[in-house]
Amino acid sequence: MKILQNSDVPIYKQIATQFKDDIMSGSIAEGEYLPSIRGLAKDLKISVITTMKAYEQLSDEGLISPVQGKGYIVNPQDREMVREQHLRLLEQHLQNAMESAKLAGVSREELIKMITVLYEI
Amino acid sequence: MDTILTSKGLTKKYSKFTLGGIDLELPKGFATALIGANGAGKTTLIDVLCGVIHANAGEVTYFGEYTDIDSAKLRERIGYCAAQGFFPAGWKAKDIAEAMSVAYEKFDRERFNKLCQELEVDDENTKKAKPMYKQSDGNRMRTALAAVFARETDLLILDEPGSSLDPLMRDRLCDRMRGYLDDGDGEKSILFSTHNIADMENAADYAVFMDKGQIIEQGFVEDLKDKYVIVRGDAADYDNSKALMLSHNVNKTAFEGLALAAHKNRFEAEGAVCERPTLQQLSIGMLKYAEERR
Amino acid sequence: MKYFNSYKLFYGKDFIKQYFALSALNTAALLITGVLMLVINNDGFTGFMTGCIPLVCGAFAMGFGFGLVSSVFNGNLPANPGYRFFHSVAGGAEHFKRAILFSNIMSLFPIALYGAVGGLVFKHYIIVVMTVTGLFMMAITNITSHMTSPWIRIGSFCVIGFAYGFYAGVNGDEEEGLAALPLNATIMICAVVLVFYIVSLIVVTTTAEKRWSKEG
Repeated sequence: MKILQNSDVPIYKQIATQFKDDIMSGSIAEGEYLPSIRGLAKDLKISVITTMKAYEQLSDEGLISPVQGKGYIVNPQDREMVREQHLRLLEQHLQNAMESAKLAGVSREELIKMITVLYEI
Repeated sequence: MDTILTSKGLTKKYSKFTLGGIDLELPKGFATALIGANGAGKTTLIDVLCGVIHANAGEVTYFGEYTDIDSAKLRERIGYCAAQGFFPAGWKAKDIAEAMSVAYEKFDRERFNKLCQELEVDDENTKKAKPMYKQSDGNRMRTALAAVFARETDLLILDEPGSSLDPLMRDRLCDRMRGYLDDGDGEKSILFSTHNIADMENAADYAVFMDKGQIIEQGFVEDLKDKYVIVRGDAADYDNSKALMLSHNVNKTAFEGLALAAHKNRFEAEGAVCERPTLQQLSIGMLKYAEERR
Repeated sequence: MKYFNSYKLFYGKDFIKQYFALSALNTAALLITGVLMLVINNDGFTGFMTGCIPLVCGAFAMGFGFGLVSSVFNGNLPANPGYRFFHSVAGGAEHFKRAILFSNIMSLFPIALYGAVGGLVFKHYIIVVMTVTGLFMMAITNITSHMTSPWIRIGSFCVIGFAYGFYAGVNGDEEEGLAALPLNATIMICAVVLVFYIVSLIVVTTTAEKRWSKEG
């Protein structure tokens, strides 16, 4: 977990985003418990209310749920729906890329070459 | 909100200063920062809450059940440490250990000695230990903190614990405070006062601002950071913004101040920028606001 | 026991060593003086020693620990270090009263000890003289302990010293003067001083309680 203290993004949002990515990608499995809010605050050297707010946001988004006496548990994620969301975004980005390609006079072959190079990175 | 301590109309009158009426709610399982200038009444409030002095009016409820601060069982659960001169000047660490053992049932002498060693001050067994009056302010505070952390408590009330400590030690104190809350897992709480929140900002969950014996604002830090903004702009635009600002700081180049986040759009329309405040900025703005209104 | 604990609350650690050390020191001083008096057969010296020893030993006896409790009395102001610790402890007023009573008990032990040794070394009536003087000085200390200025206490001791010396001087031969006192008078003096002492205990504990709650 990497937190930037002096960023424009509030710390609780940074924490929420990083946990969300981990949950979405499967690094944190469904049914696992996130660290306790006080334990996490201690490790990250931030206030407890910050970790609590991060967890509240994740809970509002349906990613985790509070369990009385045990902490916050990761909910089963709807992988298909998330994948579809990402696919839609990908299509949008590709549309934009093609428009820019046309404006720059880049041919289809050149575009495919550029995508191949970028994929390798 | 689950509260560890609530007060209603708490008042203490002195000839030149009146504290109150204080209506306070401290959340359970969190660290509350009591912020105010010198003379705002922080020490008086803490003294009353810990029974060092007694209020003239009002009531306090601790842990949802105790209302009498003179109860020995209640005082056993509260870990209090004064801002300075907590222990008699002539005492050494071993005298402190002895007296604390008499005063409190759950004082762990071994833990006291271990903490003294970790904090690099004399412990009970140090040869040629120095009495308190021969120690620096920082060492006196470290010893006093070792004594209070060596007790088994549910509420820590620390009066200006960071004021005589160097930055590294203050950071370590914040770590210990977070560790205390973690050990309690939501059942232990902390109240600490400060006139300089910058160094202890990341240990404060809830903030209470005081000025002239009154509470002027209180709330969870994250909520307060949502409620207020720091407004900044060119000096030329100041007149358009100043009415909506709570605290004001203007020179020939620029202006800045604290304002309610609700007015964010208005400020931006006038060409100013708004920023989420740090607790330090919030404190400065709050205290300035109180000062300007006096 | 409770009283001992309350005393430790105000005094801290290691006083037992100092207590016995000082008592032993004074007893040794008494013995040495006795030996010297046997060896040096000088009336002036004898008179002087017999006069001042009871006073000095009485002073040492009550200095014990009491001086510290007295300083707590006077230190009972928020600005003084220690105030906040003592006042944040539950039942602080009770602890304070017990500590005062305990230090009185502690001071009585040396007074009795010196009385016994003095009696052995000097003459039998010295026991009475020393214990009476000791008790009287304790009573004065109790009554004046809450006063910030030490002059009243010092003043009373000086008066006792003068009166004693005057009495001894007037009577020339020490031994006849005091030994000649009728038994009734001796008992009466003892009783009066004892009552005075008990009254002083009541005065000091009441003042202690009031002072404690005064909160500067």
